[in-house]
Amino acid sequence: MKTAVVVFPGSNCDRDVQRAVCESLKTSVDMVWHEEERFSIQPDLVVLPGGFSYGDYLRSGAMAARSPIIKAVIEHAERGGLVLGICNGFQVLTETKMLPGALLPNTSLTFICRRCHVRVEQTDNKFTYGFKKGEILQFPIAHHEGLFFLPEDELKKLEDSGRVVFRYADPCTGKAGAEYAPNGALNGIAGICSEKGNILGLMPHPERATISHLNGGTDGIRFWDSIAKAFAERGAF
Amino acid sequence: MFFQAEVVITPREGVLDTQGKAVEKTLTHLGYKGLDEVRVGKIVKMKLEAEEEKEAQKTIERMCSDLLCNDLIETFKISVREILQ
Repeated sequence: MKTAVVVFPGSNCDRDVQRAVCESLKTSVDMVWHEEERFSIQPDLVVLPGGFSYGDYLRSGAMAARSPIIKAVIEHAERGGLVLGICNGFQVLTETKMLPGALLPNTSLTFICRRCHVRVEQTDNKFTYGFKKGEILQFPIAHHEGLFFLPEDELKKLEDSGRVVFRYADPCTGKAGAEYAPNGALNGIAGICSEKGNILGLMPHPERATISHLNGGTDGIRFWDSIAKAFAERGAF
Repeated sequence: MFFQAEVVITPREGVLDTQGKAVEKTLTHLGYKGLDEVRVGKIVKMKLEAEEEKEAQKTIERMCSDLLCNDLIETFKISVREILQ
């Protein structure tokens, strides 16, 4: 599975993703500068990493969403290619309208950096195929704008279409929802996918839960394996 | 012709404005009474050249939909006035 990580000015999780994918999937990862207009090697998976692209100026992800490389990312997704947006990458995906919604400032108005738990809400997509519905995973979060927002009617449509992939949860009871969201996300939404299931955006960082000595846990390893499994068994295109 | 333009961007009604809520709470702590729905937005100021005011207005509207404003969560108001360059 060929992977490309897009690097924006202000990205700071690009190398974490590169190392996480390299070590878990034993594959090379192309780092692609945002000013490129196309990928030199057509990737299977494109990752938009976390960070503070363009210093979060104007709105988080707004400027990165208008970068030259984004046209190639959209074309890749339209062909059925995999696109994963983590944290700031999720914000970029909503700004490009590749995924619905917007990420607003946390209700606490603080930057939250800590471990959190999410429940796998569906596995009929290219990313959580290797998990069981209802499984609880531990991924760290680190963001200031993580409150997932959609107007009520659109939120209902999103829920009804089963596109919520991860929801913040209590690891003891297995319950998930708004009351477990550290950031005030509506319905406790931590991650959503596109209709075809080939685009995923999530606020938590699986790449920080991949290398055990980073203390973020190792559930990220299973996440990368799950993507590779879906790709191998179902194909991405 | 040259124009001075100002775009005021505010959170849409119904969109949770945590910054506005925090400002409202602090103003209330300072003793200001009867406050309701404080909203915090931003202003983008620019100078631009255009044939006429209408054209300047239209260009800025395009800028708003292309970048300046996310219509899911924000609304905008534009004001334009001619200036001597």
